[in-house]
Amino acid sequence: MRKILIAFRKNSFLIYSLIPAFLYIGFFALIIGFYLLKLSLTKYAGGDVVLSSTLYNYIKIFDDPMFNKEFSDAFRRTLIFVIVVTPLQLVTGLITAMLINKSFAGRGIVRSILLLPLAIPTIVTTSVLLILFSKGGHMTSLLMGRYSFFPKIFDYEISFISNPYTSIGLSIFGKVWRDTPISMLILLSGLQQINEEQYEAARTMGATAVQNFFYITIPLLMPSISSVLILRSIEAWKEFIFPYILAPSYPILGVLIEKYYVQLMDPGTAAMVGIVLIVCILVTSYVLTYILNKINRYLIRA
Amino acid sequence: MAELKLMNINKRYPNGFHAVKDLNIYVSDGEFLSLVGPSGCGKSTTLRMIAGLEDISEGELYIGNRLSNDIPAKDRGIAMVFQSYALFPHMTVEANITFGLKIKKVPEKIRKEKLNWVLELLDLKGLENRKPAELSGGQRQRVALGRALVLDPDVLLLDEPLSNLDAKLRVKMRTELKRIHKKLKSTIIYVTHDQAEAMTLSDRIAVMKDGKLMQIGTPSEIYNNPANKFVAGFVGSPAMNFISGELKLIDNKNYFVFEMGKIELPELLKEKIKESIKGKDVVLGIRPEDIEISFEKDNNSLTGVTSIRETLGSDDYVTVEMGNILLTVRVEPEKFIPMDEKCYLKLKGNKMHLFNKDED
Repeated sequence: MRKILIAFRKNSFLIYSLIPAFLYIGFFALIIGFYLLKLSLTKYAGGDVVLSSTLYNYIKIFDDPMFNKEFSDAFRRTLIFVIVVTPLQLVTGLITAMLINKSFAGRGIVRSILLLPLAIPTIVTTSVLLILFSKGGHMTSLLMGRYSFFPKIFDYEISFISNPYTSIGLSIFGKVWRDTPISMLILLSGLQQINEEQYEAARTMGATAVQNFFYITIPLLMPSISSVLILRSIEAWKEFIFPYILAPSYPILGVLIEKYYVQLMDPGTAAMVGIVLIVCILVTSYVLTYILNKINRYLIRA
Repeated sequence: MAELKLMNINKRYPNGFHAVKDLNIYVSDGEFLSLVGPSGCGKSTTLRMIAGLEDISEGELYIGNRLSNDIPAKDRGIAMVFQSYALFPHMTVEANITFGLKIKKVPEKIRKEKLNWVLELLDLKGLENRKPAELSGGQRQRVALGRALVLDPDVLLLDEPLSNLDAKLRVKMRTELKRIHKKLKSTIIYVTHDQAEAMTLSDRIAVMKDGKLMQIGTPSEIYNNPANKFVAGFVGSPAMNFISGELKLIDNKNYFVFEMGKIELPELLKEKIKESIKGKDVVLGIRPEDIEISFEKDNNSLTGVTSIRETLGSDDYVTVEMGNILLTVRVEPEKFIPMDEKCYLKLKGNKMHLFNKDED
């Protein structure tokens, strides 16, 4: 006991400084997670609790044909969204980071422009995209030849928002455009830690630029790359605002939560979708880490 | 292995800085040449031009008999060891050493053979699976060397490879390098700012300053016949003593006259005096070991006062004051020299050097 007390006194500052972290995990992860789980195990009807401690909301996915279609469609769209957005953000982030990592005249301005999407409120971004691409918007007018500077391409009006492919595509575009700066910053900090002499050493040993990229840049950037992929995939799974505005007829899981929680007053189903998302995120993170480790080991082997 | 020829090599940077000026160096096959000089003298730039990491602004570079100005680094037949080692931190020792072979698509069997050969040569056995972070400075240094040696380079370029090691290890690696050079007989260009390193390792030394070649020659040539005051002052530790003064002809004999006295100059320096220096202000140079200290007056000696004694173990150095001039004199460690006493200094005639004052 005395020993523990002495150890505590010795490290008291360290222990006190950990308190916020514990509080954070306690409140934001455990308690909220617990209530979310509890909510997902509650059956609601017309805004009232009908049954608690039930797997009804989960079983509904398979038993209720209407809900089954709605859920699996949303799940499929979300999966596509994640599979496209995550690597795309890595690629755009890497390209912009490598551009900025080189020194050239006007680099400061280019960097500011590339960071701009982060500074614009998301609702503004989505609204601008909506104005551009909705029925009677600028993009249809442009393609129909209504503006003198651009040739006519289509005779009929294209409704980007009510087509499943273009609407989800638009959401993907908006999401990637808005969040590329985050990937860029993470990758840039990784790039700046790579010593230029390593590339020179590799060059004298016969490596081409492409080999340099795969054998030196990628492995040394692996920590940043995995941060980007994991953070971005989490964000993509729980995406809401872009598809909510730009693809209202084609909900993804995040939009489904809003629909059930707000419009249909069924928090139980909404919570169940949330739990499904958490499981998807955990699985994705695990799979990504596994794959990245494999790739890394392949690249750095003797 | 190959010879190396630098003909009128110049390096100008886009900002106008003229880093290397009209450099002419010939390195024969299997020679160990050191490029030595203070920071910013252009020695590293020269090495990087040979490596193909910097463009050559003017002049011609021949490696073997090939004009190599526009040959990319990887095809020049060179290998380079960097000052920071530039090991790949994410790769094991084995992967680091065989990286160049893997890039060149050498079959795995030969890769293994070469790896074993290098591990043996550099005493790195058992460390194959470690990462650079798990190695000591000396081990990292040897891995960097091994990474270059497996490529069988025609010319091996070493950029201050020992400067990150502690003093003891540096001396040990110096011997090691010498041993490897003797064994492999490779042509080596070695860049260093440490003149002692250059002296002990090299077949020949090229001394550079401000992008210009000051002198090139064997260590003893450089030490005993420095071409100018800069070389004389740069090579040797402690540095050569310099005294400013002028030449005077008295009774048909050449004298060096300065504020604290005059010395008769030996016949040996006559030619040199005639050639270039006559009538100008000159600097007399003499190394600490070429001055004898005594307490009895002698002909043609200088008078001073002993002031400080520094003990290095094998040698002791005494600082002698002559007015504002301080001279370092080497003395036998056993010899008793009283401090703050008037003493007489005799300069060895055949070891005196005369330099132009303005010229470097």
